[in-house]
Amino acid sequence: MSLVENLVYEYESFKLEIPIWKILDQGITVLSGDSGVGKTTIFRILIGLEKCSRLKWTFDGIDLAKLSVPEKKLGVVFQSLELFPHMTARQNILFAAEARKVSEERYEKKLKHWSETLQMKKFLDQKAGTLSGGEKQRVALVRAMISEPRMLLLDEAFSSLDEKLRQESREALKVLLKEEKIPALLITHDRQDIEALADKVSVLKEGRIVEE
Amino acid sequence: MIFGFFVALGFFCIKKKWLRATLEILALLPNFLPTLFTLVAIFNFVDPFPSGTFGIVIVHIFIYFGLVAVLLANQIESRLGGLVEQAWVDGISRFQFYTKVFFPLMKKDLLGVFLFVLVMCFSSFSVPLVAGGGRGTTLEVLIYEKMRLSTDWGAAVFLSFIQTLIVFAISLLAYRGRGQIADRAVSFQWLRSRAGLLLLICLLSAFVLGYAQGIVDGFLQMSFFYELRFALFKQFFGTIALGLLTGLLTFVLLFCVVWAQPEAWFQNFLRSYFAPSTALTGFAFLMIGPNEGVWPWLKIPIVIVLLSLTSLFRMSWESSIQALHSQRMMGQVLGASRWQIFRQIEFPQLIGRASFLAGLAALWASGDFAISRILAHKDLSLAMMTETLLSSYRISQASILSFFVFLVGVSLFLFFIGAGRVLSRKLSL
Repeated sequence: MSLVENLVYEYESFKLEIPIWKILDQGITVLSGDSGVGKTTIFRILIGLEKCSRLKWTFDGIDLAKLSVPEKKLGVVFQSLELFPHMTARQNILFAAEARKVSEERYEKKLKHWSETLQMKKFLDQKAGTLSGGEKQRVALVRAMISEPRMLLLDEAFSSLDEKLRQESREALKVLLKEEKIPALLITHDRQDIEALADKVSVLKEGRIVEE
Repeated sequence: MIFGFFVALGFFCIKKKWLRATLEILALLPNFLPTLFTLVAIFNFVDPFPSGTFGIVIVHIFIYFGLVAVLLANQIESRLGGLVEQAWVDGISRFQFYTKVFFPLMKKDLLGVFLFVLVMCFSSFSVPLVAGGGRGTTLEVLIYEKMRLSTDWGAAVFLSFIQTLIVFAISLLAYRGRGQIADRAVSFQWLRSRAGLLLLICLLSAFVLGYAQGIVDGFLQMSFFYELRFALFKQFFGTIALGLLTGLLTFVLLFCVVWAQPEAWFQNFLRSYFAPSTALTGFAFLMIGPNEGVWPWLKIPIVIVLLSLTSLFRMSWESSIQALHSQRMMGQVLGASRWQIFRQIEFPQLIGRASFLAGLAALWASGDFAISRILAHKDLSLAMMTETLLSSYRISQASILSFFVFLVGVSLFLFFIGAGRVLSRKLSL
């Protein structure tokens, strides 16, 4: 288990108060809740994009909250995917590999394997801006996973896709996580995501985790 | 403001997007091109030219009407949006619309644009220098005269301080004057004004015809330049050197801004920083180090860049950097170093815009005579020579010479854009 403690955040009338929250260190933990309850804020706090001074996040004996954003070594897929539009799919993935200093041999091996598994070969050398929603989704997933992160965090990562592509993306995520044995935290309000992927569900309501 | 307002309504007459964009660019030309061209065009068109305050006002109207029109047209579209259609459908009279809807909703924007133009005209230096007829008609020219003629630095610094205070106060008001942005844009047929379109055509025609007339007259007197051919040759290369140096320096500084951008204090500084007095900055650089040999060639580009950087930043550099915010954040989350983010994300995507702005700075530098006049004891560029001719009322000769300045400036502008494209392509390979 990884343990999140003292997640307290206030912004005008909005307040988050989570004294303790357990995230699985294997499988997928889903954080669910209605729109506007603060799921994305929690996501951003955990990544380190929002400040939360008293936060403690223990993972494998390390307090991740004390580390800077890059040092946390998390794989992240935002709702908007945030692919670099001027780069090809391959360059996007290479960027992440270079950032985490993944060896060339390892990068090539992983890319070859995943591009076959996720059927990415035909669009690897296309500019990210020209890819379809499903293709972008797969590139974002591989980019997040290429550096073997401690944990994968996904914020409503399938919400912009149609149902068929969502199903494909869920399958792709399952395959990647199973192979890499990396835990994931998925933020979603989609019941089908929960049914298909969740090993544990935490429900956020009025700034608190009310159900686990 | 009045001319700009009517021209803005004139823009709504045009349905074709390309035609509207073309007319907007044409209307903006007097503002974007160096002041020299507007001065030459108006000196040709308004003959005899009423030197003094009235003359300065005329030149400023020509320089700013297009900018005001484009700003107002965009603000009307973004702020009023569906309200125009609603009022039209409801059968409200135009008078009622303007008094009950338009002015109450647009007053902050109108005030903002008004104060912006006021600041620009208030701190204008090159226009009063030529159109003022040799009298200290603005604070800026008075500062120049205090230093140039009576070397009274104390009075000059005091006047400059007063000017900076006034400009800062007006700018603060202009900043507060911004209204709310609506999220829908619709048909503005109801607000269109054919008279506004006609006004735009008349003003642009005056600008173009005045300039063309000067060039034709100048061609008939080409023999005048024969005895100046060696000086012309030298100043042609001088213009290119000043333009190139200014463009390169701008390019480097723009990327320095990108590098420092994540720092909030630096962003706020650039947003709120207003260029100090042109004359004072020029003279301050005159006092630093020697002023012979290559020094004026280095000092002029530095001063031009210092004075124009904040305009370039606000013009489009700030928004271009902001647009990459999420990508920068993603790079950071992926563990990329500051250098990797700069090299692979920011630089390749900003190079096009940077080379455009560097080209613009080079174009401005090629047409500069005011700063050069302070820092150089003799004519170094074609623009300085043009101003000398203009001041001695040799309008035709000044016109033809300014046309060469235009050609050099546009060539420099295209050079920077082309260089940016080549670099961009090489980086994407």
